[in-house]
Amino acid sequence: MQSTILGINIVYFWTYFFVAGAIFIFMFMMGAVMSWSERKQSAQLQDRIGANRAAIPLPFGKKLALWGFINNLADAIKCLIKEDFRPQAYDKLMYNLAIFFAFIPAVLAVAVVPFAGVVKPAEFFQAWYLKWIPWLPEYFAANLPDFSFRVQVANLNVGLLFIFAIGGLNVFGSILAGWSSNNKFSMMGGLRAASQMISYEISMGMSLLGIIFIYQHIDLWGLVQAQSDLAWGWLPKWGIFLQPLAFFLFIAAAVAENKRMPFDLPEAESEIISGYFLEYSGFKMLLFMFAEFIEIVFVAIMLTTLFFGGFSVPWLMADGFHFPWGSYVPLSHASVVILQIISFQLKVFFFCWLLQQLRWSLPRFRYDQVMDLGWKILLPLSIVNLIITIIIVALGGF
Amino acid sequence: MDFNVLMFYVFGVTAIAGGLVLFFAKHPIRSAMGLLASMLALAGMYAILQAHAIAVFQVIIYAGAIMVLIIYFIMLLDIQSEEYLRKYNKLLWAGGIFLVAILTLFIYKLYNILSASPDTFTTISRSIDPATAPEEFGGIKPFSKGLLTNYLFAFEFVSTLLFAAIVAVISIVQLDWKGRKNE
Repeated sequence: MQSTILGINIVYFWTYFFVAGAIFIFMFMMGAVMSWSERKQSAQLQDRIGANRAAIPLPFGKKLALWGFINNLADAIKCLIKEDFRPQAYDKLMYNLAIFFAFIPAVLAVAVVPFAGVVKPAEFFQAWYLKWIPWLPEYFAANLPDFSFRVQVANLNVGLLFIFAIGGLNVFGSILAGWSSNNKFSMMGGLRAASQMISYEISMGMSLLGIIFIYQHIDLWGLVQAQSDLAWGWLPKWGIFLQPLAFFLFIAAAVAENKRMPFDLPEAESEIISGYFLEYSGFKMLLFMFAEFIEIVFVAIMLTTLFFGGFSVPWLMADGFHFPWGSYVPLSHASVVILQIISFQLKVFFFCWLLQQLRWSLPRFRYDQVMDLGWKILLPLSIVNLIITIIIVALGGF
Repeated sequence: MDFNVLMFYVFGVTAIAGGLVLFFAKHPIRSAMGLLASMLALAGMYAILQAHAIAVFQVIIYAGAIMVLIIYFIMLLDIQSEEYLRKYNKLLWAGGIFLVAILTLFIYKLYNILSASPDTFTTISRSIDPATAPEEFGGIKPFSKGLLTNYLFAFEFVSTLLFAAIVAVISIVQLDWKGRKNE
């Protein structure tokens, strides 16, 4: 009998503690990388050099600039030590609460996303390149030969709905920030954010119904498993191949939900300064920006999981590659898991790049165009997509 | 202490505290946030009871949609106006009567259930124990099956009620068919 913490088996407790911590750190690191690549990528697009001045002085007149990465560090320090300027008349409680509502849902929703497949620690540490690790291989082999876990914080039966539920709380951040700042520009930003996010949530949900219909799963683990199957023996059953229209509808709705460039009316600089977080300064402003970057990463994670097979690598089974032309490359369990993790990260990186490229290449819509796109184009198209999908599924396709 | 028991107390205290904030906060937006906290805590309770589908719908529908609408309208109200700060003391007796009536009904029903079979609650708590609960309990599949078979009539009936409410609102604000306000 294993000892327990709060009624939870101690091995489970530490395993999931480790997995959750790793995913949490991944999200924050990605947020930092995004705030760096936002500068550098925009600079590349606009034929500039980008942030490169902040540097750590080294001996012999050298500087450690790390291609502008030190700028992030300098920004954080600057935001921490500058004056926390607050508006004169404002609702203090709501003003501070808004940051939590903007920040927490972005980090929390990732809890149901699988980052890699099943890991069997007893087998995992037997790979030749992991045997040097002290104590852990012998411990798992001797005490827990059958223990296995998924690289996922919580495998909820309602996975996709959980993401929508948590993502729906995000709108409170913008509304409360806009309202409590006691500023007309902030108020305008808050109102715009609220109506835009509510409108696009509908078409976002509708565009994903087709995916749920095809794979007959609503938990993300099941969706990823279903996508790692092969159609006609060679094509991975990824969402992009089975639901190409839904992919474009979802990407448009998700960028709008994220309040990024073509849809950044809530924080349009030229009209309402910076919208709902206008009255936030210092680190609070930084947290709003950081939440936005983490949301981009999350949108990339969603696109990866729902349309590009999540962690699955084409033709990679639990024991190695089974190529459609018949050849077979055996791989150890550890290699398979590591390949899955790398595949997931690469896809997420690709979509982060794509979303930033979108942000810097498209001009801003007018507000009526935003609403027209959401209600008159995306929503009807997603319903048409759903109807066609239902007909094909009912006729026995897929 | 068991983790579920600990979380039960956390969510229970949050739900009651949120309800109290809803009643006693002076500012309408703080009341709304109290209600939101209460809703989220209830969702947490459902999650402890393994009813994940209901927990998620609680958050999507109540916290994500209805509370957003409520806060949206409070934002557009003129809160400087005295009318919203006035206490509705004159109507307190009506609320009191309703409170007593509902409490009586509730206690009477509870008494009836417990006198008929004293071990009702132990049976219920055993049925939601993950070790003994039926497969897929509280998941999305049994929920949607129930919604579209046994409870279909109630479900559709509620939607007609909501439709009636929309018609009522339009008639109250007296819009004509072109969307202009009738004078």
